[in-house]
Amino acid sequence: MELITNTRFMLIIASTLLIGIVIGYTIGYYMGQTTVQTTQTTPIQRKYILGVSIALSGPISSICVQWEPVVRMAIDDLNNISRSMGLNLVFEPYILDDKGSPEEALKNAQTFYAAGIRIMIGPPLSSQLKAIKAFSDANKFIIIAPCSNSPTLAIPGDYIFRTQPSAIAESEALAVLAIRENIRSIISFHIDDEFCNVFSKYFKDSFEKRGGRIVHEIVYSPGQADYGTDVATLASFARSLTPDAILYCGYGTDGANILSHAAEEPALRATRWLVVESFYGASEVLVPKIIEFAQQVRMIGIRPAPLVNPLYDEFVNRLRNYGGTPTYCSENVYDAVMIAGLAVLRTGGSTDPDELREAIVQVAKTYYGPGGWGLLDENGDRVQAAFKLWTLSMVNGTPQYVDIGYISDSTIVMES
Amino acid sequence: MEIARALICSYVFSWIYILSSIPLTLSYRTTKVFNFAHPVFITYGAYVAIFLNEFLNKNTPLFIAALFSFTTGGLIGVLNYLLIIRPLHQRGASPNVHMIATMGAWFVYQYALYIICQVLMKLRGASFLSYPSVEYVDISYIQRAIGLNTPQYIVTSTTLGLVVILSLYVLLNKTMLGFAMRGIADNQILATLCGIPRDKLMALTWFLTGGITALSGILWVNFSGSTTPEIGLHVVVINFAAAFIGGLSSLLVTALASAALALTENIVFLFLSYHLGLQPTIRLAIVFGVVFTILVIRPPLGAGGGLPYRFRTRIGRKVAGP
Amino acid sequence: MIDVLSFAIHWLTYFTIYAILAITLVLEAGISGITNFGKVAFFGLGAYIGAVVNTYTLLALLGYDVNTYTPFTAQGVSVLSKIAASEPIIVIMIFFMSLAISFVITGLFGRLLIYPVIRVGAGFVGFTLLSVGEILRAIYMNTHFLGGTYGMFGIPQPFTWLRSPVLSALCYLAVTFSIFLSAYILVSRIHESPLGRVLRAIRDDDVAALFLGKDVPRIKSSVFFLTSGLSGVAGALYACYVGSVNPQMFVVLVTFNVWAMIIIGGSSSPMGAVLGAALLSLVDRLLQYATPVIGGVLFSADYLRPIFIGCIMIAILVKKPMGLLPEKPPKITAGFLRKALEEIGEVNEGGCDTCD
Repeated sequence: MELITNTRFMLIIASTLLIGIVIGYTIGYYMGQTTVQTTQTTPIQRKYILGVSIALSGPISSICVQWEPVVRMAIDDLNNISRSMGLNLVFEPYILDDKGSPEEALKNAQTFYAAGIRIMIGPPLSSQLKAIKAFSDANKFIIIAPCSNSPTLAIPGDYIFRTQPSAIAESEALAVLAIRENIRSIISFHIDDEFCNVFSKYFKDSFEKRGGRIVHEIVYSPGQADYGTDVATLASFARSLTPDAILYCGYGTDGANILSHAAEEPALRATRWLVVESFYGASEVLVPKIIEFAQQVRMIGIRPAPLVNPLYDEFVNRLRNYGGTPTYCSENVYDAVMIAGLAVLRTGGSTDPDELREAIVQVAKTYYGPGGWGLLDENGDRVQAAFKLWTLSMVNGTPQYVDIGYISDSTIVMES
Repeated sequence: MEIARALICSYVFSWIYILSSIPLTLSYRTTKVFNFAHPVFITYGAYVAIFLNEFLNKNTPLFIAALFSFTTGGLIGVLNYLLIIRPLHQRGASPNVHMIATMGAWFVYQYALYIICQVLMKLRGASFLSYPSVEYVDISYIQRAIGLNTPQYIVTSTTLGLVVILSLYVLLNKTMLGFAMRGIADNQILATLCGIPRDKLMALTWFLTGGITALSGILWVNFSGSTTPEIGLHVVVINFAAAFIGGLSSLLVTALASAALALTENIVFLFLSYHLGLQPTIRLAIVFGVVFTILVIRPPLGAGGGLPYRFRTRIGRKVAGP
Repeated sequence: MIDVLSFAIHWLTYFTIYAILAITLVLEAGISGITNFGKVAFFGLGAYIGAVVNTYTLLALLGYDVNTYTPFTAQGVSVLSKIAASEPIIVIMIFFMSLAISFVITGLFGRLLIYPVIRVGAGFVGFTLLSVGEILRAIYMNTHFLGGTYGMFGIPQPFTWLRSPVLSALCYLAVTFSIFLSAYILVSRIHESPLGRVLRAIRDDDVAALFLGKDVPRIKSSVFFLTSGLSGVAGALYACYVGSVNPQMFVVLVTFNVWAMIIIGGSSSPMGAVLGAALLSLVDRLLQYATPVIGGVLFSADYLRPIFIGCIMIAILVKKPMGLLPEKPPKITAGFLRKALEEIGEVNEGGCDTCD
């Protein structure tokens, strides 16, 4: 009896493995056809696949889903460049959902690597990037992260590049602005994630160095059902501490929830609001109630962007043809794909990681895209010293994000 | 301390939790299935209201949203019953198997919703993965007519909550159908022997479970400034906590537990945060701490009872005897 | 063409770690009747202990100031990466020490926890343990020493000093595989031992077992010590494999993935748990290769992957509700007893219908 059961079990195991091998081999064969082999119909063309790991589902999917059309647009642009240069490389994206989870991002990186892909765009979060770093270091797997800017990952000599400028310079610029606006006491209210924690910490250092004071800090958890009580806590402290302003750092989903609650709180309507670019572009914030609130509290936001960049406007217009609207980091995603592709073209389609790494550094020096100059520092992070100021306003009866000035080298210019 | 907002949040959340927790307990005590696809009802209920709002150019009446959401949630419940729960029951599957099978169903529904949202986003150019709050035109009209200036979500949650709870009370306590459902919940074999059509009543229970839970979704979109496909997951954790405190059997205790958890999450936390300086990041830990303490100190003796170990010493003494 | 070696190494490492969790869950839920919905609590605790020992202890032993070189700053991570490449003996020693410490602390935590938890009755143990997992996660998020929301990274993989990444990964796989095999043998032996019979008796009717003189709480707590300890080891292995820990990694979904593995494989069979873990992890990874083949015009093709996995789960369970490898009837070695039972038809050839 036991023999029969064991035989049945062995048969199950063997058939499972056999099916796995057959599926894997078939798909692998197909992948092989598309990645490295020359196709029979167009023998002169070679396909070069770029791995893309973004959160198509999960808590930050509302931002990242809008990156997919950006990737497709950048790939089309790369192919146009390749064609115009008479090269035989055709780029293709290989997009996988990482759900905003560190483990899924690592799995995606391993899948790309096993499929012969040597450059990955993404993942969106610093926590995910940390989970891939060991794999990237060991296998010389190149990662261009479009939305991570935590200083904890500013490590020289690795295979990680980041097209989002550092949070340190941005927080410093906002501190300068706060002081110029005669703001001396602030309550810092932010989501408990790496970007906002870092931003808040460096803002505090910079602001207090210039004579300001953070009178209280409130940190809320991401991924909650509602933030009404967190807003009530903020309002309680705003009433008792009477700060000059509130510094808010959050994303589209939590931001819309918080701002809609804040709009109903008299204590919060009586205080100025400084906000960070992390919810810039989020459509759920663009509702009349929040716009009216933003006007009432004279909300000012900051985002890293060159002072004048017609490429960004062109990017926004062209993106509509791909069915997308720009969200947080969209322009950095485009730049990441372009820098990766141009580096590949520069090496003639190489898959050698050291050659590609060097090419990325060189290409970035001369690259200028919707996110500005691509120049990378010694840690592989984008250098950016200019920031735009924005607010929420009604333009021709439509709620919109509107640029109202800029900051460059401690010079603040307000446009209106 | 700004107690008003915390009170409002507690009040609205109490209704949202009650409307989603009671069906969870109802379905468990009747069918003995621990349904991991429960968040789907909330999410789909909310998204039906969102899609209606988009297609009706932001002129959605509450009763239309409620009708469509209730029907959608109910149909999903019946579909789950027919395709997953009934076949598993017929094959004698254990509760754990039902639980994991419904988790598989959750994957399917959740990602199907992502696909629907993305297709609609491409067709209509609007983002559905994080959607702003939905105002119901009929409630706005009534409020204007009678000069009621309170926020709309208070009126909506009170109206819908009371109507549903009273209807459910009447159904379960004053009709033959309700008696039959309670009979099935108490003893399925005996109820079947008494001529109660078990299969039909199971399907009806799942229809009611899905439908009522979906209504909590339409309250959610009215209250919250943003709705995402993950919303069901956020709410369902509290639903499970309330259902467990209710012993997976008592609808009244489940409802009271829902309200108590909403209060803990909001009022109690605001007090701790303002006076003790606790950060909101530990809010969920406090809620789970309360649940843990309640379950350990006073274990409910409901459907999931088991051996009350606090009597172990007494039993041991009796067994050992003099 | 897929790099089969690279694919196999990473899948097998992932699979062996999850298989340890699945095997221990079989011992808890399938054999002993402890409905553990807090698996991730022990996995996460082990991972954090592994991370702390492999970073702070290593830095302190080599004379670095742990207040400056913390494992969540660029300086700390750079130093750890240099140490991992240049100090093989000490890194390996610390690694094995971290596994032992994880086992002991997580095991003790499990043993302590089972006493209050056991009061709540079988139906509520699951949610009580789930609450513990969420409370622990909040503690990680709010503890500066553990990196808070930054988490910790730069955790050395003990074979980084080997120049070849493939060789290094293979060595690590050998470690995870050995621990997985040991856990499997241990749980299988317990399953077939007199203790296993007592555990099954407790699972089937704990009141009856209590009245038959079995010290149910003590036996449950001993089992929970072992399974929690092994889950902690799996966590430490995971932390060194990934190289980082973060509160986001230890969410409730991890627990239910492990549950799905054992239910699909067969909740009372250690081999079933292994099969379930292999099947779910392999299908998920293989489907990732299908995404570009499917393409996607109106929606992202990768959305179909979880839908497909969900359908597979439902199909398997509807077809085989006891899992792919249901529990076998217990071995009866005493000839006279077997004969007597055969006479009254109690020894059946198939699975056990009421075992789950």
